[in-house]
Amino acid sequence: MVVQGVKTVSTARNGIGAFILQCKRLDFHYCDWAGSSRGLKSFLTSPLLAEFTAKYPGIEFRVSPRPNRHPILKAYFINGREKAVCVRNLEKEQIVKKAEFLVANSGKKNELIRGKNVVSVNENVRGIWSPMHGGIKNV
Amino acid sequence: MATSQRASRSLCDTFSRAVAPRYVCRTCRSHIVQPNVKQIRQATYSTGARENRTSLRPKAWIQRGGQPGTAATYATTASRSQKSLAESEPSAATDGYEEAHTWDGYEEAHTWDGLEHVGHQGHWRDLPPRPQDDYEPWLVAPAAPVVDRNEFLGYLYVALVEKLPYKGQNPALQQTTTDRTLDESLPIDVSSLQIKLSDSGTFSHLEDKTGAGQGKSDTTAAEASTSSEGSSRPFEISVAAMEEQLSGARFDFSSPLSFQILKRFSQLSGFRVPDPVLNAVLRGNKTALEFVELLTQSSKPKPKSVAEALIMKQKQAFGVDAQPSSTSAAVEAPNKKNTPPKPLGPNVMVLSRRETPVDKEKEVGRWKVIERELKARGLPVLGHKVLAPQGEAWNETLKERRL
Amino acid sequence: MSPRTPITSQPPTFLLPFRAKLHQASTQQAASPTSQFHNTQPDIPPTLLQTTDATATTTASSSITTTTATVTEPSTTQSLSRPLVISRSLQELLPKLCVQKPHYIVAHVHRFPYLLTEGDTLRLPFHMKGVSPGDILRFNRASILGSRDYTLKAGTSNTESYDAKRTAEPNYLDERLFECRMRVVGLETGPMMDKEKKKRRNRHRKVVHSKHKYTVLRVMQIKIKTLEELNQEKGTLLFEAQEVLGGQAQ
Repeated sequence: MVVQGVKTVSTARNGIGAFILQCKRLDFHYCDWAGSSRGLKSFLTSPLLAEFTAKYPGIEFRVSPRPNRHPILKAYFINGREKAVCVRNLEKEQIVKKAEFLVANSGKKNELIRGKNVVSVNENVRGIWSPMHGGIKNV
Repeated sequence: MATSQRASRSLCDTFSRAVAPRYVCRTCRSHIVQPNVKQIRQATYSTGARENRTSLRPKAWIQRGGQPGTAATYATTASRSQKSLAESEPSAATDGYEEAHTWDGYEEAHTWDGLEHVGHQGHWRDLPPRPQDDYEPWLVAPAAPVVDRNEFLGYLYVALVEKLPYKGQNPALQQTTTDRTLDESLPIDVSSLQIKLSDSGTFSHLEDKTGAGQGKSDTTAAEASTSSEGSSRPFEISVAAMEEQLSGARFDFSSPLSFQILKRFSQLSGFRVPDPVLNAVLRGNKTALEFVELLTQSSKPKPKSVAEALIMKQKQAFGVDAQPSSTSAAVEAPNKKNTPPKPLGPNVMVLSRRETPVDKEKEVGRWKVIERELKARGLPVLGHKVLAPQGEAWNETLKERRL
Repeated sequence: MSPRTPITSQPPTFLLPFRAKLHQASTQQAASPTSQFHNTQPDIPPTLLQTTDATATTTASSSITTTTATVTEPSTTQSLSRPLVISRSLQELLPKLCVQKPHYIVAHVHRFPYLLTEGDTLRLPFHMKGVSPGDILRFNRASILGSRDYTLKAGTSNTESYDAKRTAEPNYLDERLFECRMRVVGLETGPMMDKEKKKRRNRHRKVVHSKHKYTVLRVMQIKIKTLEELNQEKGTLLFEAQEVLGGQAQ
């Protein structure tokens, strides 16, 4: 058995025990007059809204007009950032997809990650290779 | 008018005579010919109008009683205009036509005599109304239109009674076959009448009730046949009786009688029957009762903004919406089919106006401090309007339900 | 072998944000993770699954490498209908592997290998459809299970073809040997990428925009089952040799 040091205080890793959605609030902004809000308005008046909001009881939803502007969805995340998606001229099914994406998002900046698919904070399971130990060959 | 016509005609003639080519190219020909064609068309139009007038005369010029809105017909305006046209036009047209042909009698005008006016008279709305402009609307829309189903039903029934041909013994009804108005001058008992349907379910005629079913006691249930002009109407019939008579009845859109009935219905109720409703009735082959239902639905005012619509839906979902129109239980029964929508949860907030930065400060609780500081510096304090989240009301009701 | 206890339990309430209370009421979290896990059925049975090809590589401090190769049984049929055959060497070494605690697993999703330990974040290179954040998945394809000193490998398929070795479906361990639970954490996007398409001697240029979505998972648990646990599963266990009694006695 390997000698292990004193463990540090556990870091918060969402999803291992409890899981918390990172989005805390989602705003639906529409314009009563403009035609680009047609899809969002039909989404808001359809039963889809009640279904969607009932699915995520931990998120605050606000529906408020924003006159003379294109409709947007604005999400506020736990990490303090916010993301806004313009939904002009979108149908309500597309808007549901956008809203679901915002709800599932972590609120981090979009970063280009190439190849590093696994991110680990654990130390290597098999230890660090050392030239002093093991596998020493006598020539 | 006559002079101008004459002038153009004569000019054309002179032109054509002066040129008098053997071959005329196509464009030129059309140019030359066109005014003549116009002239001819005018002439034919005037004669055609005369023919029309003669054919329309017996129907359209039956003078109704002087009640506006009750007995006016669609043809009123048309007939009037035609009448005026008939008075003014033929002389002018014929004169022009005749004189154009008699080239020798042409005299060039040197004065303005005979012209109705010279130059521009101004915008039409600045001019005083002429007698031709006066018209009588067939439907005067009241300030507050009817939205109640019972009233619609009553008006439809009255329209039916008035317009359907009568086959019975009552002499008062038989005298006026096509246009009778239900008022005090007509001494009949409406409850004794029976609307007969044809085999295909369309309205056919009126009849006396054979049985002595006079004792309709429940006239107090709903005073359906009260109309807007007279509240002291002696003809009373219960909603149930009307429904029973109208059940299964359909409109026959091929007969002009349906049009008469619907028009009379519109006049009585002051509610124009929308085309989509009529289309739905026609395509879906719906009954008269379904027609009334559709009308009631379409007559309800629609919410203007999304916030209003959402609040309305929420109220419906919680059943908070007290419907003042629900007078009798019989009316409620067919409305059962629209199930209340799923309510929004407590995590949804519906705001009726834009969320301003002031609102955000208020939400955080920083606004009081800002306000105090602004006042201390003698600056104006804006943003007094309270952004009342509409969710509050229904959350309260929800809490009460749970308790 | 006992898994770390806090896996299924929540952190204390005061550590949770206020909203956690609300979210726990949702339907996704209603069932406890364990029960959910037991309910999951492997919907995609492995097509080519090697029952037990245990190559237990012992690299102990004694620096003696012992390689125990057992008989490979390339089975192309359904693995779950077949009994799980545990070879003699596996009977000997599996308890040791189970006990040595930090484990790693090389799990495969769409044939791509991912080396995972507990608590890692895995960003799949695609948008997994039909999952919502909070869902728990079980990975049933793994080629390697290991701890510091022991490794359980699915053997390589014995083929001469270089291409087949490189590109063919790898061999997987039997999915009854381990449990690998993943939590769907969310959905990420890369940044909008603009790629300019331009041909030579032609002034026309086209810009192609692309923005991809990626499902993010987190490893909740990697558990290698002990012999007792394997034994409890009905009718699945077969021991290869006479060490059956010895294996059960452990």
